[in-house]
Amino acid sequence: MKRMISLTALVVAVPFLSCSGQGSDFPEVDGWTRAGDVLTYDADNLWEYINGAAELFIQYDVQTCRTADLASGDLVVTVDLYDMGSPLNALGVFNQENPAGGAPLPGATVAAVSPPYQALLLKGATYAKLNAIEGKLTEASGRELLEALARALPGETTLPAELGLLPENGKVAGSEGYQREGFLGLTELPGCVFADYSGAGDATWQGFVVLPPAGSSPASVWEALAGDWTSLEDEGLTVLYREIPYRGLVGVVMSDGSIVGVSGAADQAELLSRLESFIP
Amino acid sequence: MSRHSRSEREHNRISRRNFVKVGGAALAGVAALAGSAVPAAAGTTPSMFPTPPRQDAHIQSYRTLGRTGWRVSDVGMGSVPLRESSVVRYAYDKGVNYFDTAEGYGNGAAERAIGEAMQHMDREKIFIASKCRIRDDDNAETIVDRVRGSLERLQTDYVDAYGIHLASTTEALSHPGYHAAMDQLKAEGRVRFTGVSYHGPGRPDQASMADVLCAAAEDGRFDIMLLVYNFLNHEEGDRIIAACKANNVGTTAMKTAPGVLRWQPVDRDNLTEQQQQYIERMTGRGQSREAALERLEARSKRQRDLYERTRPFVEQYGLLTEEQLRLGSIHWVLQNPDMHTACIAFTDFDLVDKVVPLSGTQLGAAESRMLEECRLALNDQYCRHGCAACGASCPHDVPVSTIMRYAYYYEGQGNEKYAMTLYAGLEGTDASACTDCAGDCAGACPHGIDILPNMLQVHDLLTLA
Repeated sequence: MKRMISLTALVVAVPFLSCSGQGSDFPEVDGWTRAGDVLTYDADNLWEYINGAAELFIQYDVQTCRTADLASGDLVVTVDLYDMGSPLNALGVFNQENPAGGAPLPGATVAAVSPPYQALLLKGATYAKLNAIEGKLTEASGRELLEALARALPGETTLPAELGLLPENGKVAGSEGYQREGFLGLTELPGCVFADYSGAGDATWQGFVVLPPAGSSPASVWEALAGDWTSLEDEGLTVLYREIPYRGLVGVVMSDGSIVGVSGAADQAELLSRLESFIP
Repeated sequence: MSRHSRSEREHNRISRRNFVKVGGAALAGVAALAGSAVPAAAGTTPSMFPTPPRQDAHIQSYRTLGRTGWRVSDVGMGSVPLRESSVVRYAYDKGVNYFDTAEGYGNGAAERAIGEAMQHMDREKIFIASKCRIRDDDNAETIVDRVRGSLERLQTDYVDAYGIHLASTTEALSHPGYHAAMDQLKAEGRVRFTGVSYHGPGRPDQASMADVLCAAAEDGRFDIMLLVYNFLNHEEGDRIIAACKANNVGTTAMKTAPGVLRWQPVDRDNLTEQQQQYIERMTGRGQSREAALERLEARSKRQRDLYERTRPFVEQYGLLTEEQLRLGSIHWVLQNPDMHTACIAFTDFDLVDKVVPLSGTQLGAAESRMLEECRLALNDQYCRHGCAACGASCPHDVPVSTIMRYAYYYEGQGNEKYAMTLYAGLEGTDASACTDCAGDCAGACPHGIDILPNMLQVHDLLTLA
């Protein structure tokens, strides 16, 4: 009976995992004053704040979201600070929410202002999302605010180190990204860093490096791929490949202990050609 | 009449520590049914799914989406999180003709992905439902602007439905700016129908999902609903579906498969990297290490206990993976002909190949039995989101579900002061009224929860009595 009581007592409340109104560790932003409480959410209750949009952040292993309103003059913005646990996860979310990419910003990794309502910032493991709720942001005021916020945030301003795995030759600047799951819509491809690469003419294609999830290794991912994908030998190198609906062939090889791959090839010859140019 | 004597009440109480330790086990849903690798009775159970994944499968069942008249595929596509436009196209080629999205999904990324696929789809053969969260200070102009933004991302001239995303009160249903915007956009041919989504209260002052969506169904201005519906959480959904049926409103389901949890034990002397990071983050936010560890352990124990409770079912029916549970849950939703479409978040081609073959098929006996047993096992331990069914039985109008939430703030989150402050400021009667109450709330909970002893215990907890 006791067990039943206590089970009931907490079961009722689980769906209401609450935010905390007690947080005081929100960064001070020069020229802006905080209006109201800081609310803090984690992966368990983020949906209370942003509903279905929480799925994306959970997929990228969100640790906390701290949110507060900041005011300056006639402008009031809601600032959401997502601690994504790692710079790579933060980049992944930034990519997803801002596919057009960003621009350099002093004190930050990258940032984007979308007047009149929104500004985004990436710094270290923090993804910051600002939405104007009173007044309107301009490009200038948005950047000014982002710069002030960036100064108050911890973290490195460089891109995640994992992007260094991507070969530089032919890489389209600014096209780098990270996808945590299901790269190219394929469940068998876990987290991948990727970038666009120049092809013939104006064509570009994607090259990528697989980052095995915790608890697995390149070898285990390779083994799983070998069980499902077609294999071919090319000059002593084993290439695994498959067709992606509507998007041609994707192929991978094992290179220096990492799984590297290319996508969008029209046929085997193009696949091998791209792999050859991509392998470091 | 079944009332509890004072001695019985005392007997029913447990120590605060036990409340923490045992209560941590409770987690709504069967999320952990397949949370870990499960030893199945290999070779002794029939295959759970009669329809294996198939790349050549096609939607087999279409239903009429209320007054919209749209013949909607029983399997629809949700779009959060969505990145690959080719998955949208793939689902379309399998016969999926309903795409649910929102401005807020990936900051518009989901709408963009659908838009990128648009050139490969016959616009007249698909139904696109988008939505946005409406702020109090929104007006017709700002909402029209946001809809135009959605249209641009979707690369279409019109959306079939545009709804209020997360309407948390019945008052929100009458937002004048939204309705003015919809009137304008309908006149322009940019929007055909309206809709509402809501998944239940996130704060004590918010209404239940059924309260809001039943009101929306009866309102007359809304054509489709998006609601939580799964085999563990369908009582409210059934009410909403009935209201929609009576008013010829379309029904679409989200959160069709309970979430998945893995059980990760906590060894204080040997924390995993992830656990260590969690502790560092909590302490970085000002929490003591001990409190952070207790919180971590409570989470772990909830998961473990739920796993243990559900494991017999998993073993009995040979469920080997989280995926089997997920597909079984989706299959269960598809059985209800009055739920017009289940919006599945297709993030990859494989999932399309696994879910589409379920279209138009009957739930197998083994699946049905397993799901029912899971439901029965958890039914009397699960106080539904925002449910107020017991309210009429209380002569003092004690807000039971609100008080239970405060208990969780105290125990589950370690926000003791916050919970006690909330309880002290509770509007209305607190649970002290239960002490000598002659009312009869026993049996008032339609789900079998014994209310009185819980109220007494929680009152003690939140007042440090």
